[in-house]
Amino acid sequence: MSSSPWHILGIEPTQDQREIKKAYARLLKTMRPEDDPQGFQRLRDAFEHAQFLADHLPPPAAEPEAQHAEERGEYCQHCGKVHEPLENVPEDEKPVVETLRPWIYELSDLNREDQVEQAIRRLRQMLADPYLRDNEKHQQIFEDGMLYLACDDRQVKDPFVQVLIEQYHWTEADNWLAEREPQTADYLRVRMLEADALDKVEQLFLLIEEEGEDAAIAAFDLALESDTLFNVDVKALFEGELMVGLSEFEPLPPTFLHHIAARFGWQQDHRHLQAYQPLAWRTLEQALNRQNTPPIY
Amino acid sequence: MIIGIDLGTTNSLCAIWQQGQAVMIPNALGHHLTPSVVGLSDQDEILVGLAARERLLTHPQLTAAVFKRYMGSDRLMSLGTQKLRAEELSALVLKSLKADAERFLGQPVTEAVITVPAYFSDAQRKATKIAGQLAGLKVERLLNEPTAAALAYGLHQNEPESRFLVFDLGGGTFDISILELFEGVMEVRASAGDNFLGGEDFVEALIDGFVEAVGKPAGLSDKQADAYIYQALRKQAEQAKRALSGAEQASMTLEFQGQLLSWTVSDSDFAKLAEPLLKRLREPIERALRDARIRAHELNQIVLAGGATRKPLIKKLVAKMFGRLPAMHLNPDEVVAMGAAVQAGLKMRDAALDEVVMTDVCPYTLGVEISEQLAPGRYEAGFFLPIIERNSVVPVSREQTVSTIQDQQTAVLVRVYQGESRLTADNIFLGQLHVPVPPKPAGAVSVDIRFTYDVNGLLEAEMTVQDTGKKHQLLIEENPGVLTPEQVQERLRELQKLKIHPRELLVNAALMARADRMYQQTRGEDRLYIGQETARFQAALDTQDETIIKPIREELQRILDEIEGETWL
Repeated sequence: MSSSPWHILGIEPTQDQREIKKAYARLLKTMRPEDDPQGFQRLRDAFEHAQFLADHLPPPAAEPEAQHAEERGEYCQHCGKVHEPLENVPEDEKPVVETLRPWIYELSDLNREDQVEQAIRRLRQMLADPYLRDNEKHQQIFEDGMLYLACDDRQVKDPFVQVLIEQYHWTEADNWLAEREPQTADYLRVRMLEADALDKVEQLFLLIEEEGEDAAIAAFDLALESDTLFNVDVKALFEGELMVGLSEFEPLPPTFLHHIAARFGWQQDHRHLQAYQPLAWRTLEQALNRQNTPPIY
Repeated sequence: MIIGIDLGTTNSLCAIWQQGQAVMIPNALGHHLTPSVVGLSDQDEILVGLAARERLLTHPQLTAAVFKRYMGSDRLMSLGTQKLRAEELSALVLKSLKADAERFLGQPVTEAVITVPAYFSDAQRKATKIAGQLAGLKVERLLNEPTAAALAYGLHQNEPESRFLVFDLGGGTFDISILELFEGVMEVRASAGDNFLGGEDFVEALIDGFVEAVGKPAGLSDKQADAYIYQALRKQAEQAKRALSGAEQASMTLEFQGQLLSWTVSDSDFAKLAEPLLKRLREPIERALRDARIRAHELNQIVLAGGATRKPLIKKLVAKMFGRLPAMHLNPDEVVAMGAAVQAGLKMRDAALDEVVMTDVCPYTLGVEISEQLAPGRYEAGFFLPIIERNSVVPVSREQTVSTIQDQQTAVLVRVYQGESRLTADNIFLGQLHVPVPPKPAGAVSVDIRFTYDVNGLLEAEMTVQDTGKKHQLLIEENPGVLTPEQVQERLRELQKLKIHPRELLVNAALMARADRMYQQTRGEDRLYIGQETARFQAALDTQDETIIKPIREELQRILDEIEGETWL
């Protein structure tokens, strides 16, 4: 009879991965892999099973579309973080923050409503506003707000972030950000690379439609060698999105599909594709297999 | 006392766990690094380490290096008239480290934790164990090198929870491991690597660059044709490689058929020559991240290990791939040995490590060969059925069931493979066993195949015939390229016949070898000067009086350092 993983771990069923890890770690010290291989394997199987269950329990009900929290210091559903309470803002900055906050929210909301062009236009107007233009302190506080949008506000779209980066030069080596928050600068750099990678995927599909598969294959090979895809995360995104795009592309471009499957080694290793989007991979796998099946005599 | 040993392609090191920390053990020359080079002296004595490395150039026929690359194969290397396997040469290095440890500790040492590349195959691991045995060391544990580096780093972590990636580029092998740290647990999430990619390949790339640029026009097209020329080029390439870590260019020279060939290489030339190698570094990294299901930005740190990661070229590559700078707080040459010492401490149940548990993975997929039905009644053999998926946490035991495919079939041939290809032809064969089954219609007999893989990376297969309940066991022990126990005994006897150069005289031997090598490499005044001083040193050695030898030795050392800079390790 096999016990449930929760029983072996000695905890109640939970979705809290941290709690699962804690229970495993505690028991592991009495069932070390080299001293008690059998006990360890049982524990390990229970651990992995519990982790899987925790990930696959039904997620909590989707939350309704959230608005900005009104109160300072209140958790904001819209931004997913607590708005800085004004008490923590130095006395002389309070009025500035109070003035600029609605500006920042406006840009966030325009992004959320997919009006990126309008958001960029408004940004330019704000930057030209004497309130910012003529006061260094105001400019600084506004830049902090923009950095918040670029890094912490998930509604904000890539083209908008691109404009912000061009405006403030955050990703350049001699910028204040590189020194004070190198990780933030790294994040922004990768975010822009990712935007570029997504753009490349889109270009490839356009090429297939307009110039045919051979042109797309040549462009793909070039993209693979590009600096953008040098970053491993960016390349993984490129691969995943290309797969999803292909699975929805009609009619399926067979030569192109085979070429990229070979270049990425999809036939040998596709667990990551399955994890990325199982349905898309299944579609492509069937297509690849159909074309690979040896003739039957 | 268990010692920790990093048995490297280029250098080997030894460390112990003492008073709650890893302590490096110096060799007879006072260095932490012992070059993994074995040679025969003019008196037919075995020389290990720097002395042997210096003689690579002057006595290429009597010296062997880079033999770790041939672990787990039947290849023989010559040392004068002797022919030795990689295990035996490695055993001589281990013996020398063992002697250093015994001197340092003042007690005999018989047990060791030895590190191996994570991606080492079954045969290569066994060969390493045998090397230990031949050196008189019981190998308590084979520890994966990047895991060792992670152990050393993990103990220095202040954050209770973190994930990091170890990028370990040694002299001859490349390993990637991704680790997660939580609640005192160090969990290896995934490992990947390339057993034939390391710092030595960058040296070869420079040699090729030299041959292409100035060798060929002068009639030198085959670098391997002459052992002396090859070693002279290697030496030059190694020096150039080191110089390029700091300077923007370096030069290599070679005397060839009376002419002096000279080539200046810039760091961008080097980058171009190294490009194919840099490309090969990518694949294992991507694979390890995929297997660990971790995105690079979720890693708290990228950690560098292995001397080859000192190259600016490598640091730049890592920074570009991960979008941030890697960490190198610990000496990359020593970090693996330090981790081996930590593991030795764990083995000895040291109180300081009471709360630490480490789990590792099996980095490759293990399975059996099967036939697949391509059409009704039409089977084709040669397909791979994975049983233990790569990057499973070890120890691990997994089972798959296969069935007969022919009527009245009387046996099932279980062929065990390691690898990632769908076709067994592209994987590594480990061993096989005929399992008799009762004759019945096709598909009516099933055999359960259970694989058990232990913490040392050794595999056992157990087959159970479902009808009869009969069990058959296959311990993958005698795979191709691995010595049988009888052969080991015989090799042990052979090795005992070799005379080892006395440890206390190694300092003199190393210096003399270096002086001889430099005499060959220099010209004009320097050469005359070295010749004179060497003769003086030889005369002093002949007195066998340390009080006379010591000042002259120090003088010679100073002169040599002045001419070529300090000896690098």
